[in-house]
Amino acid sequence: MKQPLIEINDLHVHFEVRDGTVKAIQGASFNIMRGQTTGIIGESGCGKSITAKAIMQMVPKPGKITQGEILYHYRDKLNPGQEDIINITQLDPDGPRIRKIRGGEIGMIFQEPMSSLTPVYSTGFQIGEALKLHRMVPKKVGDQMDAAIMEYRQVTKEEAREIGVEMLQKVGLPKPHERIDSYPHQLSGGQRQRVMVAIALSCEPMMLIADEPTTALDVSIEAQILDLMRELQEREEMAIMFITHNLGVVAEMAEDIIVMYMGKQVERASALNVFYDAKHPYTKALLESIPHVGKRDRERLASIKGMVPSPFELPSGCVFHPRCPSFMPGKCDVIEPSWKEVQDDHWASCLLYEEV
Amino acid sequence: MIKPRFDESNVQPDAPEPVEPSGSKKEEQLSQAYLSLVWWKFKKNRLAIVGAVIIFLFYTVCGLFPEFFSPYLLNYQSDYLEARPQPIVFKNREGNFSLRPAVYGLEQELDLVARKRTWVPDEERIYPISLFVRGQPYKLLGIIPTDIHFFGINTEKYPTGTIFLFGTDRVGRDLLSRILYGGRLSLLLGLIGQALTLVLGLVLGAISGYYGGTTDILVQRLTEFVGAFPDIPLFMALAAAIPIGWSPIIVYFMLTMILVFIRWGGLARQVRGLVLSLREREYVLAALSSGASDRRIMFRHLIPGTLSHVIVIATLMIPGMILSETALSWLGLGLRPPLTSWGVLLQEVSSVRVIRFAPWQLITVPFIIFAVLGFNMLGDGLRDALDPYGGR
Repeated sequence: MKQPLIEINDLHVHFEVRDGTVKAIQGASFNIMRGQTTGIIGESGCGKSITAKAIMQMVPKPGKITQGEILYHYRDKLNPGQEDIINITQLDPDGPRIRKIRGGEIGMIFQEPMSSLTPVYSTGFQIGEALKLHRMVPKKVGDQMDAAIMEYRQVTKEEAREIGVEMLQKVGLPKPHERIDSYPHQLSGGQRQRVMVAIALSCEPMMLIADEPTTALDVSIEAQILDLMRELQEREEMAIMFITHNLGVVAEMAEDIIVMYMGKQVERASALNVFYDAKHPYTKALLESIPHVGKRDRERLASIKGMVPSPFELPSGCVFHPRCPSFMPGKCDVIEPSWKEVQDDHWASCLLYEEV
Repeated sequence: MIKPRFDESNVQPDAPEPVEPSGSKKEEQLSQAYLSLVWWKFKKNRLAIVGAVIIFLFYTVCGLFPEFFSPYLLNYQSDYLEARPQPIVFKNREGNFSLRPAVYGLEQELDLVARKRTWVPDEERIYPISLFVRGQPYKLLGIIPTDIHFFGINTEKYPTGTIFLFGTDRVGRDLLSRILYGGRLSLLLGLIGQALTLVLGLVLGAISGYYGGTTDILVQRLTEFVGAFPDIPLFMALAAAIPIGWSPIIVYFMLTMILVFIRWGGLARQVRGLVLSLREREYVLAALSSGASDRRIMFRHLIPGTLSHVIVIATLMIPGMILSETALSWLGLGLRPPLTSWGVLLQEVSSVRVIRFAPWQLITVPFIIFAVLGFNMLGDGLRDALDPYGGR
């Protein structure tokens, strides 16, 4: 029933900078399933956003995918029975195929709705831009025996406007007929993020990458955007890769959660298991550092001790061992833990669950 | 603001505006806000308005309709060689005061000290000036044949009447007419040249700023190389390289191209700087993530963001273009007769003889000064106005 849409296998992304090599991602492997929300959580700088950008083949310079593959299971919308597997890492970052994937098959929304819209164009123009690039209208060009020969054509200007109004309505923007001619500075932050969502969804992508989509918004707007995304997902059967460092949000949104630390995934499980039965000490520490309502006064909020290590000198063995409360000397600083299924469909990489 | 649901029902029923303003009207108000703010700020700046009016007058009078506004044609040679300017007087034919302006006739006089013949006003003969008189035939805008001139002497009534408000040159051509015609070439060169500079500067600046790296280094070194070129020797070489047999129009466009070639660098640098800061904005990433090509990002998303800045720089660069043409033509490296531009007119007064005996021919200089000042005032006004949220 659950079919993979994106399969990431042993992905490594390195940044060659003057002071050495920063290993931003070292061996991430996970799947994103069709029609399902996958949450990715972790501290700042743990490689969440880079993973997302790697899927779009948009790793910023001087970063490079040095190893691994990202398999994209492509299905033509007209012919959903057949599946092609495309290795995104092999595509030319400026080529036509990846440009078709970007926006057309995988949409993306960003952290900063304030600056994600080009200030000089109206919302309608910006939605239309994406539509003109990606949304193809099937057109019957003729019959051959029984089968109709289908072809795609681009949307026209009038259709684009119509779809734009419809999308703005879908994302719950009041008065879409007027808003389509508004410029970004005439919209509030929440409205702009809705427009971003509308742009990303207007081309009916197979997957939506939401890179901290609500960080810059206040909580009431955040709730609206999250509701909106869930609602649309149900309607459109779209996969969502939800990147955040907000554990509350991910608990609400995701079915599957991947915890990342220093460019590696350390734990993967269903949302329930991560929150009620976390295995990896890092995940446990993260969960403990959430403030709870009703906690006793004057008690300090738990934090993870120590600092994130310098990316140039990663600790030996398990990268988390200098900060780990369950550090086992002689083991954790020597042996690199492997990715193991600890429980049924609950994966972690920690020596606590390995026989060494 | 829980939900930005702002709809008509929230509007006060007793508000002064109609309760339900039509959608399109309200829309217009919203999207016109920036432009009306710019216009409001521009209007408040008197100098800018003066500059705009000067530039507008120059381009309509000299650029579009010099044939109409000048009393004579460009190369009409009268018998009055080096005639002094004929002053405008308010007298009628009998010599009494009249509101209708008139000019004196010209009379030949032998100057024994300078040993030459000169033309001096003869106060006995008075010719009233008429508006929209029939004169020499020409084609308006090169299409409509007509012979109506804005002002002049009615030659049917007064066949001996002349009107040389700024005097004539050595071969008897009316100087005012020549200045108006000359302005056409000089001012259009400024405009066309600046437009080409703008295109070249925008494209190369955007490419340089957007791609960065090797491309950036190459473009930047190119602008430095071009900028470091000593202009005058380069012009001498290029002027010598233009074959003598070329038609004046081709020479004119060559000169424009050469000026553009020398001057695009500064604009390209400015655009590059702006693009460097704009390309880090999230909307570029957003455009990239929705599959836009590099070209589209550069021309659709980055360059429009630089335009308000670029328009100002471009306006302020036009006088430089006009002055370059003037200087080069004066040196004999730019336009040459039979083309007439302000530089060519100045070249004709570059001898001591002319300055000694026909100093009125220097009247071209204030025209150039006014055009340059007009552009500077307009550009300064635009700079202040296009940043309506800025201080001041």
